Amino acid sequence: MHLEEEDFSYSGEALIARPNNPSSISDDEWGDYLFMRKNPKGRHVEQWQHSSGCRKFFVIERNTIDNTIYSSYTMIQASKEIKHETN
Amino acid sequence: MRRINPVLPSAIINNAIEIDFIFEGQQFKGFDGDTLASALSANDVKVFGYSYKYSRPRGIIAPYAEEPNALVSLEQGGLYTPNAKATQVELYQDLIASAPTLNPNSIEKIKPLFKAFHRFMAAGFYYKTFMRPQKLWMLYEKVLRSFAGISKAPVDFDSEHYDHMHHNCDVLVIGGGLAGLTAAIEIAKTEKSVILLDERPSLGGTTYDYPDEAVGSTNQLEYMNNIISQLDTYPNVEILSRTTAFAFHDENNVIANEMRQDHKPLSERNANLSRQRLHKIKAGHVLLATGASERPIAFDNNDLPGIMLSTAGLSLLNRFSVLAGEQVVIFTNNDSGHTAANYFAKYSQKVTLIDTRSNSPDVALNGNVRLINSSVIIKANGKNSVSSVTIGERDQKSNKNVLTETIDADLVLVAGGFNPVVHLDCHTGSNPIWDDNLVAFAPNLSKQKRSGTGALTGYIYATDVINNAKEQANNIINNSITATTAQKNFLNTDKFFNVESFGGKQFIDMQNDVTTSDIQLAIRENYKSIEHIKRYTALGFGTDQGKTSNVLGVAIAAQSQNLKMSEVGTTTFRPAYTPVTFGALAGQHINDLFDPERYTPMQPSHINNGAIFETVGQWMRPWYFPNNGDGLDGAVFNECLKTRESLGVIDASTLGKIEIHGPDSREFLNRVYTNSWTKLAVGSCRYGLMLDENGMIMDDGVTACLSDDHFIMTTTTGGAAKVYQWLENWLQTEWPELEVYLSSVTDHFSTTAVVGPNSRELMLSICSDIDFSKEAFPFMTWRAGTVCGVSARVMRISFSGELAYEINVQSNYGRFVWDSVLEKGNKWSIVQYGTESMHVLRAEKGYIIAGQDTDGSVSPIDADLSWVVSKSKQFSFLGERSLSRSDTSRVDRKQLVGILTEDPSEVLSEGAQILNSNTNSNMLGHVTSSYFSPTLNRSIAMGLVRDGLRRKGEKIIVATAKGKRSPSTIESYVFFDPDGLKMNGNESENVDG
Ligand SMILES: [Zn+2]
Repeated sequence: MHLEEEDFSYSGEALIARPNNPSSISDDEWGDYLFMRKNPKGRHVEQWQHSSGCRKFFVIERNTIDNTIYSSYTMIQASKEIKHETN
Repeated sequence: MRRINPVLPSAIINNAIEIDFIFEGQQFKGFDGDTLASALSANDVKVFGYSYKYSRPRGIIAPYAEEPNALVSLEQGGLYTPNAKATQVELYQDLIASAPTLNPNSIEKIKPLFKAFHRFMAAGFYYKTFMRPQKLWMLYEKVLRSFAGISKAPVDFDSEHYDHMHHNCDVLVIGGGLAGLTAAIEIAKTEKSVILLDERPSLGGTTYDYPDEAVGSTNQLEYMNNIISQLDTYPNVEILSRTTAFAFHDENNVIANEMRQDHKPLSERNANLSRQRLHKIKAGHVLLATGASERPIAFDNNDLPGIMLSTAGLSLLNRFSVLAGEQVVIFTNNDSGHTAANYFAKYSQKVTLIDTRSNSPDVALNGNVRLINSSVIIKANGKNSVSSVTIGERDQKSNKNVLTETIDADLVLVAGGFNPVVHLDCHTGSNPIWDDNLVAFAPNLSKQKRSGTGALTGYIYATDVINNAKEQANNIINNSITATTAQKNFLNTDKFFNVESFGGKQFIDMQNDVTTSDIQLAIRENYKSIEHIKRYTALGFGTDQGKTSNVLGVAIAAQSQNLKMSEVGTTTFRPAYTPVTFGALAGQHINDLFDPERYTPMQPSHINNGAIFETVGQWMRPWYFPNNGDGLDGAVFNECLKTRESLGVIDASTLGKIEIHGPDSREFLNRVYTNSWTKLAVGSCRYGLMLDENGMIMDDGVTACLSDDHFIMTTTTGGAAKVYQWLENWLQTEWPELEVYLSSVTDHFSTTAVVGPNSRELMLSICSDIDFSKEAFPFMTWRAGTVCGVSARVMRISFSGELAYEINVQSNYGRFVWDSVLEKGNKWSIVQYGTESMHVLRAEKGYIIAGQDTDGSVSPIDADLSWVVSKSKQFSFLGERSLSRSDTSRVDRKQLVGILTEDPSEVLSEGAQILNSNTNSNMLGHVTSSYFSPTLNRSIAMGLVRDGLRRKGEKIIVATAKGKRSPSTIESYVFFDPDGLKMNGNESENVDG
């Protein structure tokens, strides 16, 4: 059983952590948080919301070339299981 | 051409049922099971239209969906269907069809006009025309449109309806020919769920066209009928006929369109059924069994009616029992021409088989067939249809042809080899691969959970097809997919695509009149890539998408540049495989169901009271109330003045409302709003400004503190959904430690806002359990009580600058309270007002509308709302850090200011450009809001102006599109009661509650 893609909304690259103390970081660092995204051709860890359903946000790893979905995680799982690579 | 009688056993027509139909105003008869093309062919109609560039007569050339020429328009009015292919139109009683380019009158009328354009119309016509002065295009366009060779676009609203259906299945088989059916039944035995799609009305693919082909002791037609009856017994198999898979998307999402009623007489169409149904199928595995379609060989005058693909001739003969000619010439480069010759030799005494190859296959030929090897058709002769062909002997080395003889012919069948129907496989981004064994582009089939079988992968003869289909089915069952294509030569096809020209026109793309020399010209002009050649010549641009022409085009491009076919490659195959009507794509999502319309509980009263509505997001809101036949201006004048003089009322139920619950609610509000919520007392309200992380205004609204851990937030009408999602996102992804619960309650409460100096008097008359004294119920507070007998939250807030109260009740009581307020308000000449007056009143007072005066690039400082931004909050609220970024903190950003025109009667256009008055140029910004203010008796406007806050008092010019220049001055945007005396009921009080 599959749910239709249109039941979900895309919400960008996942696991972009908001800096803990924004006022103490430089414009460049804040700019990285705001604007810099990986935008890969291939595997991409990204956040979605089940917007026409339970409204939960969750994380999937999707191939941006052919939309293969490799795995999905709750937000809690994602924060524990996916190692966040710093750029 | 004639119908063979008795009807051939392989034919799908029933000659016991006669069908009357009209083509080009003329009455014809056909049989049940006919297509429009087969019925007209049986009536000896050969010409279906004139070609669009050269006005040459054109007939049918293809058996089915590949047909480029025979485009017809069906029916009229709301049932009008443009550009149907006559080869696909199922005949029904009283069908009315016309050929858009056949009308001899219109052709004669514009022909002379058109002659003048011939010299422009070589390849590259479009490119060159666009590069010339653009003005000329308008002139060409008129002529071109009438010659485009396609139906007129529909003008009437489609009177039929469409729907969508979603499916999941284990295996989707696309194509109901021998391969697809054989595989489907093998898979069905395993209890996997199977969906099989086939575009034709009867399953069986091309078995009808080659009925004699043996399978064991029987023929393939009997074998196939046996499978179909067996398939019916499997409940896990769903078969959709008349259903074309037209798009293959990632992850095995296939979109198919089912023609449910197009084949029925108009009188028998069921208005309760959809005309067509779009199926969205998500399959575990997709087996492509889409077959192969024949390609022509190009020779001079190859577009004469009576010249067609051998498969078209065989389809007419064996499927419809129509003999398309008596003197048959077959021109082939492969074994299939020999098969065709034998079928025709049964009914024609004289069949000439011209084979480009020196060696012919081991196929016994009927005695009526005269075989000429190593030869080609140099050119076809005839006026309105073919009457003879000129034959030449082929020198294999030089490729020159030596003219040998001329043969009478009224039917020329061309068998140029087969192209696997690779389209669907390519939709997900893989390119087909040129295969020298197949002499064709083969499907890539490299994607996961996908395979192919049958002619698509190079299997042609029935036994090979059946074996391969079983093998592929077992691979799916055993989950061991290995792509296979036939290793042997596809029908021993000779790599021969076009005959050297003898000076005549050789057509490649019949629909777009693209010739061999057009492609050669494109290459000479340096458009060498196949993608460039396509766009330069329009090759493959038609409604047939070049199904018969693309490979020929590639071959000619390869020859001209001495390249291999694989080096030229193909153009990109994109959905849709065949044209799909917009109605099917839209389905039920039209009219009222296109986007939901939302109404407040007061809607019936608004209608009774004569409101004119406007759409705000999905909401229908009263725009104004033209009570005395006033237009917009008159109504707004009346509504605004009476509200400011005495009393007005507006339905504010559409504002988004979000309940925020939980012990961390205050901290949450501190984080998402710019100002502080720590000290907001129970019973108080506060205006909040919400920024995105870039520091730009996203939304605004008033939030009330219901209890220490319970708040109700209002958002703009249009921003509600976005704000709700924004808040959820932060809570779920970034701040899971906050114990906060959100619920959207927009529809749960309705809001009647009473506005004006007499609003307190009105409230006193409808509510006795709230103390409305200034001391007990100050501005920016709320009180619970009973209004008109209904339990209510009354908020003393204002979006007009007047003393005002918003009465919030459970939605069920909304209309009752509204009606009661109108009735009670009569004493103070109450006036109901809509969104237009609301906008005027708020603009007079200088309240912004997020989304109108801001556009995602306006910070609170830009909007002159610094007073809402707290500088002392512990948590760095959303967007705060960005306010000190170098660009955001620039002082010369565009800032929100008031604008007053020199001429007080002139109302500026919203969006008008603001210029520096000294230079009368130098764009400074634009007008965001503009109205005539009845209260101030002059026009007022707001605008975003570069460095605007420092320019107050400065002169500017506002420029409109029509060249008008309006001298104006920059002012504060609070035009009315800047000290807030009225709003506070004539007492001084801080706006910030
Ligand atoms: Zn869910």
